[in-house]
Amino acid sequence: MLNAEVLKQLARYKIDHTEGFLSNYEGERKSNQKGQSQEFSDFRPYYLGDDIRLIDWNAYARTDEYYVKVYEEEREARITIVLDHSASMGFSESKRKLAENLVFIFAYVGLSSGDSVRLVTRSEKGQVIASPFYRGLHQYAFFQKTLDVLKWQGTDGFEFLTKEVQFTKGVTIWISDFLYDHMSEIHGQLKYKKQHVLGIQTLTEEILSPTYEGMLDLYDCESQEKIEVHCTPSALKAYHESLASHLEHVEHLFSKYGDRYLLLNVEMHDAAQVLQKLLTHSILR
Amino acid sequence: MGVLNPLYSFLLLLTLPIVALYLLRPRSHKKVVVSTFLWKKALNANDVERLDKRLIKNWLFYLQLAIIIIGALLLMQPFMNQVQVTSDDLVIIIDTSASMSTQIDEATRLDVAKESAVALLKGLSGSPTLSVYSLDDTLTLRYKGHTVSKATQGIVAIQQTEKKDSAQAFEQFVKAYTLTENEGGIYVFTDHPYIVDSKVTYYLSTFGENTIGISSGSYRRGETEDYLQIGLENYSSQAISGELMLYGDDELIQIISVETEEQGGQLVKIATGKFASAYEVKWSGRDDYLLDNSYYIGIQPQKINRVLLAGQSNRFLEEALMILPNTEVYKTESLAIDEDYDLYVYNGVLADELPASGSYLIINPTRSTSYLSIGDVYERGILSFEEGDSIWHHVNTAFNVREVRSIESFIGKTLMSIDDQSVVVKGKIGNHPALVVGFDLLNSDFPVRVGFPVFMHNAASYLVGNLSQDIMAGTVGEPLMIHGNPKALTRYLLTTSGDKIKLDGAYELSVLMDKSGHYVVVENDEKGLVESRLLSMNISKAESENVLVDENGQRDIHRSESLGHYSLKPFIAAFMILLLLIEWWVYYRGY
Repeated sequence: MLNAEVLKQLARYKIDHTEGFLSNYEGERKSNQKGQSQEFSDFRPYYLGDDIRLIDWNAYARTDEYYVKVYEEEREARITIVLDHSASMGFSESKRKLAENLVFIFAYVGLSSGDSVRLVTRSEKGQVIASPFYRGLHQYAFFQKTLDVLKWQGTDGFEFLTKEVQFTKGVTIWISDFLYDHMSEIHGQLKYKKQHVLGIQTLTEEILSPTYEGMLDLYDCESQEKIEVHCTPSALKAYHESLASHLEHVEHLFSKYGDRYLLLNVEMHDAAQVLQKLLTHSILR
Repeated sequence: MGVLNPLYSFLLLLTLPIVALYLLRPRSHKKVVVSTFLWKKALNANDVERLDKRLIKNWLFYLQLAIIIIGALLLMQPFMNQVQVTSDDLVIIIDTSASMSTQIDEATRLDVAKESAVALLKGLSGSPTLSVYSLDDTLTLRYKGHTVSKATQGIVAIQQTEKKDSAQAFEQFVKAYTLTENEGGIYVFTDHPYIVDSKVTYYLSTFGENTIGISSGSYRRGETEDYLQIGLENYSSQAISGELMLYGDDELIQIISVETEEQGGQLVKIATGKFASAYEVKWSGRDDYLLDNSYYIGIQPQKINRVLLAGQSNRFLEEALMILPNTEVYKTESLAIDEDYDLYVYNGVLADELPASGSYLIINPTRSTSYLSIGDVYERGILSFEEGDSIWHHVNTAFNVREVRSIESFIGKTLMSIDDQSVVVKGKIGNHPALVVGFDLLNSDFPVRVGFPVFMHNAASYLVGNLSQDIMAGTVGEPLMIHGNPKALTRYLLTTSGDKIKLDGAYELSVLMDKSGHYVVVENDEKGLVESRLLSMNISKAESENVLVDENGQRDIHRSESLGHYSLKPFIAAFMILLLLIEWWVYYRGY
C-alpha cells in the first residue's frame, strides 16, 4: 500500500515510451491521429464531405475561403502488468513488498494519467488470469484488493501467456526475477502481440552475492529440487560468472527490441526509493 | 615383489577409521533458496547424478585411503627382485597309491586324475618347463622337458601301484620347490588332503567322498608319555576312538584320550600313555585298501633344541630358526621367562638379567646393560669380516647394512667390525655361549640373502652345539655330494633347462648345479629306472649382489646401488607426495 505522499507524487508522472503503442481507444494521451478533442491542432481547407459544423466562420469572413479546424485526437495507452507471483517472488518479505509496490506504482501512474491498466497473474491452479482494463483512479482499489488476497506460491507459469490472454497493441510491464530459461519465448510472444515490454527484474542479495560456505544441499523453493554444492572459492566464482552471463542475456533480450529493462535489488523495496529509481531510469516521466 | 617388513601391514587398519569418518561425516547443511537455477548453470548440475561426478565428489576420500595404503607399503619396505626367471615351471604330481584304484562311476580315481592332468596340459599357454611325477611311497620323475605331447605320454603311461602314498615325500618335494626361484605351480592329483606349510602355490585335486585313510602322523615326546597327531579323512570324532587302533612297539595299547579338531575331526591328537620306540596307527573300519589305513611313526630319540625368540617380530629370523634341524621355536613378547630353553634369541630387546641356562643370540641391542656395552652408531663406513670364522662359513658376506652399533668386544672374538669397532661379536657371557649382532636385521638386506639361513645355522651350531641332520638332507652350506646307486649302470643329471649331464660315480653336484631351480639325478640299469632324486638349488648370483667390493675386498656399507633388487621406497614416496599434491589441488578446486 502506497502512502498519500507517494501517491501525490505519482499523480504527476506518466509511463514513458508508450507513444508508439497507444490503442485505438480514446483517452487522455496525445496521439498523432487527428480527432475531436478540445485540443486545437491546425486549419485545413474544407473538402466535400467534411462536417460543415467544423467550418471556421471567422476565417471565412477574413479570407473568403472555407477552412475547417483540426483537433488532436487523444487516445489511451493500454497497460498490462504481468506479475510473476511464484514462490520465488514471495520468498522474502522485501521481495514480495518490492513486487507489490511496483504494481501499485505502475497501476496508479497509469490510472492517473488516463491510461487503462490491467493485472495479469495466475490462479492457484496455475491458469493465467487477467483482470479487465481499468480506467480512472477510482479503480485503483482493485489492485490493492487483488494483491491482498494473492498467494505467492507455485512456479512461474507464463509460457502460454499470449494464448490464454487477449492482447491488443499496448504496453506490458513484466515484473519477475527472470530466473528461468523460457523468458525469451514469452518475450517473443509479447512482441508478436505488439507489446512494448518493460521488464523489471527483482533479485535478492542472496542471488546477487551469495555468502555460502561449506557443503550445502540447496533446495529450490519452487520445485524443491536439490542440488549439492561445495561452496569453495572456485564454486562461488563459477556462480558469479553464471549470474553475470544470465543478467547479460536478460538485458540483451529486452534491448535488442528496443524494450526497457531494469534490475532492482529487493533490499530497496521502499516505494519512495522505487519511485526514485524509476525516475532515474526514465521509466516514469 | 616382496616386503622386508610385513609387520607394518597393520597400518592398513588405519583405512578403517577413514572409512568410518566418511560414513559418519556431518551431512551437508540443508538450505532452501530462491532458486537453484544459477547454481545448476554454474556447476553444470545436469551432470551431478553421473557416476563419474559422484566419484569426483569422493576424490578426497579415495586419495586419503591411497595415501594411507601407500604409507603402509612404504614402511613395509617393498622391493622388486630383479633376478630374471628363465622359465615358468609346471609340476604335475599324480598319486598312484592303492587308494587311487577306487572306482568313480566307470573309471578309477587314477583314470580321472590322469584325464584331468592331460586336460590341464591341453589348456597350457607358452612353453614352460614341464615335470611329471608319480607319487606312491616315493616321488618318481616320469618326464621333464618342454614338450606337451611327451608330457602327456608320460602321464598316460603312469600305472596304478599297490603301495601306500608318502606324505613325507610330497612335503619334502614342495618344501624343496619353495627354495627354487621358479615361477609356476605344483598340480597334485590325489585323494589325500596334503597340507604343506609352503609359499608355493600347489593345487590339490581329491576324489570321492568315502575316502578312508590315515594320511599323516607326527609325534611329540612329553615328560610321561608320547603324544601323536594323526591326520584322518572323512571320519566323525565319535567313531574314532572305537575304530582306531594304536600299536606301540607292536603291542596294542589302549588309547587313553583322543582330542579332535572341530569341524570334521581330520586331525586327531592321541595321548599314548607310554613311551615307545615306534608306533603304528591302524584303522579297523571297513576299507578295501588297508594299506592306506595304517601309519607307522618311528620315534627317533634325539635332542630337540628349544629356542625362544623374544622381542621384535622378524619373519626372516623366524623362518631361519624354524628350518634349523631338531629345533622347536617359541616366541614371547615378555622378557620375564620362566622356562628353560637351549637358546634365547633377543631381537631388538635386552633383558636386564639373562636366563641362568642356555646360550644367547643378541641381535640389535639398543642399550647397554651390566653384561653388554653399546658404543657409537655408524651410518657410514667400511665393514670388515673375520672371514675364517665358522660363523661366516659358506656365508656370502656381501650384504648391505644401513646403520650399525659398535659392541664392546670384552665378550670374546670380533667377527665383523667397522673402523676397528666390533659390530658382531661371539664369545661368552658368564659361562654361556653368546653371539651379539650390532645392527637391526630389518635395516639391512642380510635377511633376504641366501646366506642368512646359513649364518643362522652356523650361529645356532656354535651356540647350542652341532645340529644333527636328517639322513636325506644335506648340511646347509656344505658341498652337495651324491653317491650313485650301485645297481645303476648309467646316471645323469637333469638340469633346470632340461639338459642331461652324464654322471659317473660320486659327484659334488654343486659344481654342476650352477643355476637356481630343481634338478633330478636319474639312475638307470638295463631294465630302466632304478632311482631318481630331486635336488633343489638356490644360488646367490654375482649379478644379484648390491654391494660393490673394491679390489682390496672391502665394501662400503652405505652404498645403495642395487643390482640384484632395488627398493621401491623412493618411487612410492614420490607417488605419495604426488597424491598429496593432487589432494590439495582437488580441495582447492572444490571438486
